[in-house]
This record gives sequence, structure tokens and C-alpha cells, in this order.
Amino acid sequence: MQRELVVRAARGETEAFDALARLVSGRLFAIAYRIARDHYLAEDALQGALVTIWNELPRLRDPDRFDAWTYRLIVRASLAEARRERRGGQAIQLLPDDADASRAPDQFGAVADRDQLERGFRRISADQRAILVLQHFAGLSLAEIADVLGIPVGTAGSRLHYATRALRAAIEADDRSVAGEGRLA
Amino acid sequence: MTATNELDRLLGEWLEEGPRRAPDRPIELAVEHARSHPRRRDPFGFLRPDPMAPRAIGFGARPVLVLAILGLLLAAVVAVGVGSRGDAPIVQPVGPSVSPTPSSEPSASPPPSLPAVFPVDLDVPVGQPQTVEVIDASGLLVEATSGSPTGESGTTFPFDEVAVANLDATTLQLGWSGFPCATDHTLAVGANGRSMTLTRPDCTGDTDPLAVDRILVLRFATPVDAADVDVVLQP
Repeated sequence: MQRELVVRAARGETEAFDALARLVSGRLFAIAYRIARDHYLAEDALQGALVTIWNELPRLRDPDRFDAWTYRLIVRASLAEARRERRGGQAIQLLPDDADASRAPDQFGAVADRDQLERGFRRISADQRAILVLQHFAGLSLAEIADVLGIPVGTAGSRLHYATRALRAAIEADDRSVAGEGRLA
Repeated sequence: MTATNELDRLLGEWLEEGPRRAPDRPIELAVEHARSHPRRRDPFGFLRPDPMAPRAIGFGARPVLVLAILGLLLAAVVAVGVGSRGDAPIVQPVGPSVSPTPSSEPSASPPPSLPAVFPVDLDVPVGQPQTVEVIDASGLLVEATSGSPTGESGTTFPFDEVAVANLDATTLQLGWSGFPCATDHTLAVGANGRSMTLTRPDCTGDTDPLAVDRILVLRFATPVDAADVDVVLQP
């Protein structure tokens, strides 16, 4: 069904585009929201991606590549919105990319609650959030992530590794700051 | 279980939470955009690169296109110039205004069957150098030059469309805006001389977020009414 809609929308049928947009928007918005961590930024990213889909769809030679292409568009749009937000708002403090190796192997299970994940996730860069979302939420393989981002598989693996380390470091920094506040109190 | 695996598991569970249904507003706005920008026939669509083509092919496609156009131009120059002249300019189409032969009637000159290419360096008030490569399949285009945007910042043209106006009966002005990092444009003029597609390049990476105007002036061999001209702007 989606393939037929892609083909018809590429020919310029707005009704097909309407149906296609409604079919894929849930998936795209979910990804945009998880990268941007903001409902309004995700809305803007979704709208930008949908407009690009309409404008550029005739250039997509293989309709079966539609899903990968739309992943690429929504990631780009989400990163653009996140950067725009960062220019206009407060700077996000980036953490050094070194996790504490002395932490016990299963300690994250005990301490990394949802609030810590939220705070840690917001403190890493939007690019790092994007690659983590593609793997852990969209469920893409490393090869698929590389395809979506237009980078070699090795580079995708390296970025994923550093994103995970950065998130771990962010959670640990959050842990330390909470402990410090506890001592002050 | 390692710390990384545990973090992966927690992250996966946490990401599962959150919205999965898109709000209606962006969908409706995008569909409205599609309805107000119906897709026009793009005579050069087959030349445009596939957005999901492998990187090597994507980079390779442009030189191949340039070589193909240069080859076609060379063939056109040779075909027209055999027995008459050998000094035809490479970037000027064969047309009435450039013919050095007084006896040749403009209307009698057959339009070139192959596209002519006009490289234009655009005047921009700020930012990086901007270019437009005008590919004319009509044979009616005589000259393509840059206009002069007035403001040093901000725009007077809308961002998502090209404004077309007559400067005189045979001259059109095309105006649009874009970010400073969108530097290399292509304008394809269709065989009827009225359908055009302007490709504004993707603009990624850090750039001045303030868009600036671009103005392109096209002079045709025959009168052309801006109201009859249809320009599609695509990234």
C-alpha cells in the first residue's frame, strides 16, 4: 500500500501524498520528538520533512528506499531544529567524553532512572541523540544507520560507541551532582 | 550483564515511552503546501541525482552531467559551424543576436536542438560567492546575467518560490532568496522557454541563518510575458 502511494505521490497526486503523509507521520514524529526532546521542535521538523518529501519525491528512483530516505530527512530536520533552538536558547553544556571505568558492571540498573536518562539524554549532542534513537528506538541495524546517515558502516559504529559513552558520562555527572547536593543539604 | 548492555536496555525501554502519534497540524500544512505547489513536469528531472544514491555515484553524477552537456554543446557548435564559421562562443547559444552574418535572418535561424549553458556569477550583498548554471533547452535565451540585490541583509523575495517580473518585453527578472551557504544553483529552461526549474542546493552545516536575495536576469530572442512563465523552485 505504501509503495503504491509513494509511486502515485511521486507522479504529483496530492490525494496520494495526503494519505502517505498520514501513514508515515507517526513514525517520523516519534523519531523527531525523541531527538529534539521537544514537542514543538518535533512538529516543525515533521512539517519540514513532509514538505521536502513532496518536493523531492520524483528524484527518488526506487520507491522501496522510501523508508530509509524519510529516516534521513527527519533526522536532518530534527538536527536542524535542535541547532536552531540552541542558537536561540541557552547553550547546552557538553560533557567530556570519558565514562568512569571504575563503575561496577551492573550499577546502571540501580541508579539510571528515567529522570536521569532524560537529563543525561538532553546533555549529549543532538547528533549523538539521533544515532541512539535510530538504534534503540527505530531498531535499525548498524548498516541501516550508516545508510540513513550516508556514512560508512565503520563510522556509524564509531559514532554509536561515542554516543553511548557520552550518555553514560552524562548520567554519571548527573549522579555526582545529585550526590553533591545531598551532602550540602 | 555489562554496564553497556544494561544502559542499552534501559535506554530502549525509556525511548519506547513518549508520543507515537503525530499532531494533525504539520500534516495539514504539508498537504496544503502540496496542493498549492502542484508538481510540474520537469524536463530535466531524469538528470537530477537520486537522493539515496550511493555517495560515490552522487558525487560522480555531476561531472558526468557537465561532460555530457559540454559534449552536446561541442557537437552543436560543430554542426552549426561547418562551412560557415568556426568561432562560435562556447557559452553563448547559437541565436540571432550573436550571428556575425548580416544576411542571416533571426527567424530563419533554427533554434539549437541541444541545451546551451550559461554560467552566471551572482551578485550577492554578503556571504559566499553564488553561481547559477542556466541550461537552456529552448534556444530562445540570448543572455543570462546577474541582477543587483539591494539590501545587505534580509530578503525581499519569498523563501519558497521564485518571483518573476518583466524588465522589458524580452527580459525577465527572477528573484529568490536563500541561505548564504546555498551557493551553486541550476536553472533549467524547458523547450518552450516558459517552464523553468530552479534548483537551490541543500544547505547543511553551520551558516548565517539570515537569508539573502539573488536576482537573475534572462534576455530572450523573442518577447516573453512573466505571467506565462512558470518557475518551480526545488532543493
